[in-house]
Amino acid sequence: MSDPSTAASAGRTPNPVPAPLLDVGGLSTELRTRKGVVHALDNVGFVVRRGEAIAIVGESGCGKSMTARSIMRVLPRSTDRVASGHVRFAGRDLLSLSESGMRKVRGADIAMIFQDPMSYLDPLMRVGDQIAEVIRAHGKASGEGLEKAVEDALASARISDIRRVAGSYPHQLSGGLRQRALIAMALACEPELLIADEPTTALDVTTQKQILQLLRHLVEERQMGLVLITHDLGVVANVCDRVYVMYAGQVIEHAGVHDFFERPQHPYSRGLLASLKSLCEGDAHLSSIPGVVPNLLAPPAGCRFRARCGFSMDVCAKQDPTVRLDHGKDRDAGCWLFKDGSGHV
Amino acid sequence: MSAVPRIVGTRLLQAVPLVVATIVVNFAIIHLAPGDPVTMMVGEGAVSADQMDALRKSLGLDQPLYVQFFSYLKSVLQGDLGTSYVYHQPVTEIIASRIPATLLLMGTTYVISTILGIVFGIAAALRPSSAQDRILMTVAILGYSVPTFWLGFLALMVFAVELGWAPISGMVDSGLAAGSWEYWLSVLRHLALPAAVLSLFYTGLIARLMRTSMLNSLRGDFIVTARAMGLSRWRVILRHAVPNAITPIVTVLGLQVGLMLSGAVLTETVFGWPGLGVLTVQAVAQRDYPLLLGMFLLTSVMVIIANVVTDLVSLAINPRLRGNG
Amino acid sequence: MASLPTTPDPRPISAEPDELRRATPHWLEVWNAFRLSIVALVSLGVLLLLAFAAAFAPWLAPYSPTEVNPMDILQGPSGLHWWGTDDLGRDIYSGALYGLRISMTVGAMAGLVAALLGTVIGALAGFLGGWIDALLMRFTDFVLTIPVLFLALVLIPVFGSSRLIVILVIGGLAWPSIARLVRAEFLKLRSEAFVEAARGYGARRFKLIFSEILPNTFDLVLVATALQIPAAILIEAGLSFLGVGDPEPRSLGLMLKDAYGLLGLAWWSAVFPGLVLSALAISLNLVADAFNDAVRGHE
Repeated sequence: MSDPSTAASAGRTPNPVPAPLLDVGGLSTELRTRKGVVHALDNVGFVVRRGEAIAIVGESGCGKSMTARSIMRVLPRSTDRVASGHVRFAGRDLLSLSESGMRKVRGADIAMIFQDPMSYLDPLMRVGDQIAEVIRAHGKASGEGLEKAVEDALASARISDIRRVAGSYPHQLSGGLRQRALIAMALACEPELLIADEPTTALDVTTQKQILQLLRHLVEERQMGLVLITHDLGVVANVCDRVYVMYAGQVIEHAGVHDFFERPQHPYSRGLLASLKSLCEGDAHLSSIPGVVPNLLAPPAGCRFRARCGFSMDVCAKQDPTVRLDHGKDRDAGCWLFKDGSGHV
Repeated sequence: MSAVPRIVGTRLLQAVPLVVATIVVNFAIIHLAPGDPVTMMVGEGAVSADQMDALRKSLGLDQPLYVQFFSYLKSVLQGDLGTSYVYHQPVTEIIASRIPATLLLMGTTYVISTILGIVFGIAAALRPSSAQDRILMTVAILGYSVPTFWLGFLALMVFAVELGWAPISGMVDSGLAAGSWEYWLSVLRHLALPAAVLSLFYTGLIARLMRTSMLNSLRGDFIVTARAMGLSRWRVILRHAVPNAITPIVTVLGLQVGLMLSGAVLTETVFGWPGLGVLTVQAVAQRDYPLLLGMFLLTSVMVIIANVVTDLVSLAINPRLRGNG
Repeated sequence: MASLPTTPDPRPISAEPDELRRATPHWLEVWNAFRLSIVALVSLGVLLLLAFAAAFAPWLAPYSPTEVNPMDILQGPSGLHWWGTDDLGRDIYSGALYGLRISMTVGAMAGLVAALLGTVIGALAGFLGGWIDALLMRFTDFVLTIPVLFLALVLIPVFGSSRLIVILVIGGLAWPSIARLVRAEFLKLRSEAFVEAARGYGARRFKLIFSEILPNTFDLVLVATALQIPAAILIEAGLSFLGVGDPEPRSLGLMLKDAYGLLGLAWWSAVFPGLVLSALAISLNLVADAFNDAVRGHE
């Protein structure tokens, strides 16, 4: 296995060498739509260790949210399904669990937080009650212990005015407080892994920083695993140890955060970072690479980035390089530029 | 500091000009009616012109319009809605004697339709585009497409005339001691058919409404959170989806009251149910203006009250309406 | 299992890249969606059949609807009188055909009144905004609460029982849902890019309404109106049933009123006209509903 010490960024303590907390491999998800089957995910894989934060980046529609949903098995329609792959968490393959077994995992062992807390919280319930509901559902506390458990959860999200927040409705709180409340709900049952799907996109810059700091702090303090899904590369550098880049439903590159920002390999990643550099501080929109994402109803043969790639070669049209992506190495790119026919870089 | 008392107060205050507007409209209609109220009262040629003038004077009809309006307003506020041409009794008394019957019919129908409609709407929304959904929704559409008076009519023909299971008309068998349980049993027997027929109509409407609202609610992001937090399916549906589905349609449920009044008129007529509906139809046929307009005023006020109540219920259910207190 | 929202990404997974989308005319897309439902198609067929019957009533009716036959009163369905006769010997089948005409006409006219009022009020509210909008919306909410039948019952003795009054009252109370819709469209389209662009060319506000915004709202208004028409037809029938509507020519409601008087004596005088009325309302509702789904599916 690879040496995770490369995951350390300057200034942070190197992580110890733990066993993987979450090991995803070969994940392929199909969505049934009116127009046919959309292959939303193809052979997606990544690894998260305790105390490690990974980022999954990519533009809209690349499948990053779908990956999170597939792991949690909370897909939009009943006809959506994970076609193949494994999701090993703490020794078990989540994909083989029954629905009731999976329910025990959700919210308790693995928790997920989302983009816009206003719509992701029930507007008719007080925040404290929603948190209590999760705690009660997983049997972590009941009766008198419940109130204390809710307060503990809110405290872990660094909320100061606990009583007020617990008794408030979502619309009565500021955006930042709402997101903290959602985080508190996620932390209430002390999960080992947290998946954050665009947690700061709907927030202003200052609040973004605070939330990100909180997430990083939680990772270190609790030795939690964090999967941060975002399209904002600026966010990645501050919080995460590793980066996985997704495009058109596939993982096309992975690397330690430092290596990635210094020397991106895949042409797509290079394009992303180039557009990031050309913008001033603030949002890094990724749609500045010319061309469009391929149609996932009928994905093209060979490399999916081929049409927009300035370096494409003959082999790119025939074989899909992401099949050769090696998760065992420190870093790798699913691109023929970095592999010759025999698989050497 | 809660904003609720302020909001409630505002709402109640807003109702006042509506009531006044209704009174004005009523007054306007009275005076738009062709012919002189006096002529209508005494009939053509039955009395001499002098006597008619004297009558006009005594009724204050020779006064300028605005004076008449204020005296009308005054008497309305004192609870005097005039005297019926036909029954020669105060309108308020007549109406008061008929209200209970209508309220019984409407109330029963409202409760049944709302409950059934909500349940069916939820059931349909939980399995969209399935057989369950399609059947429920088609039945719902049939429910409000078939004319209620015709359905009531057919029901009468089949169940009352042919099969003799239900009584043909009226609210209660005569000769029973009021308040005794035979009395109430008889009322129930008489109530069954009209309430069932009227309920079919409104259940259909509410079921469709609830289905749409429920589908909308299930698409909500907070449902994703609930699922991602490991809550059981039923908990997600009943504790999160349903309340969020009912909240937006509370206003419409309140509107049903107005609709139901219209429905009540027809149903009461068909089943001979002695309520306001039958009274209205008779008043129209006999051109009994004081009674007719008194009833219009009353029902308008009832509708306004129903709206205010609905708004207040909305306020109670939906915390977002209470401001950021 | 319940349906859940799609990903929160700004641009969801698109099944077709934009360039590949063929330009199908809008109405064809709507029709294609409509076609998918068998119920909708059958209802449309029934509706067209009824329209045909109503339009050609004078040629299809074997008797005049008012023709009195004292010799043949209260006859059940037979070869001579397919749907029997009433207590004056009038042929019920013929009466129903002509009555159908009236119902459809009333429905169409009331719909027209509602559509006009709704469009104007909705457009004013959406376009002008501000306190005018607020005022109009309060007014709209108020109108929604008025019990139609009741108002008709009150106004008819005052203004007379002509069919025109009935149409005006019904249409005059059916416009709120249309107004809301038009207003919403105006609010939405007011800020759309192409309106901004047109403004940039110096186009006058008024022209904008007619050339850009209205055509877009047309099918939504059509659907909203269609959804109101069945109720209008049933209310008119109800008024006639109560003996309050226009007695000439005989509408289906009036036929049912007479049938009510014959309770138990002549089931055919109640069943057939009622079936026709029901068929009209049901098919209209089903068609309007499917139409609504088809149009909204393409927003």
